[in-house]
Amino acid sequence: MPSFIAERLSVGTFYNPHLAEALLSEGAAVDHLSMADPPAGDDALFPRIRDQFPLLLHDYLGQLADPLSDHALERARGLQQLYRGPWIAEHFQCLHTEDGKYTLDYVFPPLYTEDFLRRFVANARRLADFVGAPLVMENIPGFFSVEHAQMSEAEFLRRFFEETGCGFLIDVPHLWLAAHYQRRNPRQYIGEFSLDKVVEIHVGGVEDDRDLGGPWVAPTRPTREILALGVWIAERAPRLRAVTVDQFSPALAADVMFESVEMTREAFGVSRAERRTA
Amino acid sequence: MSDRAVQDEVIRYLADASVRVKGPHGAPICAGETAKAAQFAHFLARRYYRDRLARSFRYSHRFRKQTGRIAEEVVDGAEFDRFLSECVMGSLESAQRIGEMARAHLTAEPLPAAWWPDLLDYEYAYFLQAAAAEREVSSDQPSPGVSAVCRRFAWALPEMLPRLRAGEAIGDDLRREVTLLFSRTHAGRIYVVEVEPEVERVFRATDGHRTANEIAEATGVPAEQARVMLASLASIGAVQLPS
Repeated sequence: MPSFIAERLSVGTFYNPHLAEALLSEGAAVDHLSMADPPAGDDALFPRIRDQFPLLLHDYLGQLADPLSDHALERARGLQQLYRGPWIAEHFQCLHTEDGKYTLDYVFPPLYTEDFLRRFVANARRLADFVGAPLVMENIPGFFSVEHAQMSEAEFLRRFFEETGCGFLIDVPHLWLAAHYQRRNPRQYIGEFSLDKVVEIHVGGVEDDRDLGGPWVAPTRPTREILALGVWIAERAPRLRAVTVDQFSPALAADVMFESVEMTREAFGVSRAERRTA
Repeated sequence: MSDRAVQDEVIRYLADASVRVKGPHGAPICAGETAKAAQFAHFLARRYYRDRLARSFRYSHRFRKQTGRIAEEVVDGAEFDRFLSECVMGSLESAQRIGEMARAHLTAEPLPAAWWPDLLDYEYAYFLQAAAAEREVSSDQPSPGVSAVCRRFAWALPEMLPRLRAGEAIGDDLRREVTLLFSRTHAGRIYVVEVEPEVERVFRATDGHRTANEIAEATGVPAEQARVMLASLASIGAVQLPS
């Protein structure tokens, strides 16, 4: 199974099973793959994918606003044993009610309060300990304001990272959107976050959405502005190991995926690497 | 109210249009933000049903060149826009309404084949499992799973679907009656299983009122056998047993 190359930045994308053949034939184009879903039982190409690419666990493991069930913890550990990536990822999200009756089925931020901070800290520690791998946490944008916050998103994340020692998976389109809808300057907004904790960067595209009447994340090519912000973050992130193009959709075309990775390589000044197997 | 309970109010506000009609109340959304919250709720619902339709109506999707239509198109229509003001995301009723919209959309003449209505019935029943995430209300007696349905088909769907995947022709050799039970577990796993007449009778007799013995009596299945069947149906989410 291949591993991350320690001394260089890894540039990858998400594993979209319908593009497995293209990924295998263009081997050196992509350094690593993030796994948003477990491999399907009938995914005949997955064993070859696992042999050829370092994999990062980026599944829905459970919302850390609540304690994870034993089943969820076992599942997370099982997936990490399958992928053996250098870290696992989860999100700052709270998308279903405590009784399980309602779910938004989409990433949605928690209230930024002391109580939620305690919950995330405790549940993140338990997840990382149980799985036995470093945990990185991804920021989630809000579209509207809620009058219950006791601190800003940046402060909530900073305190979380300080208390847990977890790494920061910084999603640039998410921060760009948060800044956009708060009418803030993106660089000033992003500058408030703990960039020294960043281990992985997500870049991606945005497109106008008819319901939102403005931009939202989309499985399209990263915009030049998003890439420039990503590079600006990278210059302030001494622990940065990977940049991942966040595109996960059954409608994604191979040419869009490869072009997006190439654009990202060019922006971050990272050439294709010789693949190394551990 | 705890912060966690307040977050639940926000989630309910976004997921349930009937809650939005009454106003934010427990959800701390200020007056100036309610329109944006409603926009976000519509975005979530459109995204949710588009995704479930694409996953469930994937066989009929293969015939888009012939039919000129795919199921996901209904989420961009005027009927869906009207539905957004009544939608409870993940409810069985919402799933039934959207599933019916998709089935009607794909039933326009001329039909691609004699088995087309059966295929759409199959995909509709599958969609109910994919889109209805509602939990059962606990009952003192065995009760059916929220979205579980048992359907009879004139064509042998279990053999037909692999042929459709392989792009092979469907011949009259597949004109055989089958009864399929569709269900979903609490963990979200979907099952489609072919069932024998006794199992079908036991499932249909499970109504949340009859005891296991009364189910056995009503169906003519020996009591011990009926219990085994109920346990087996519970393992795939088709029925819920009293705890």
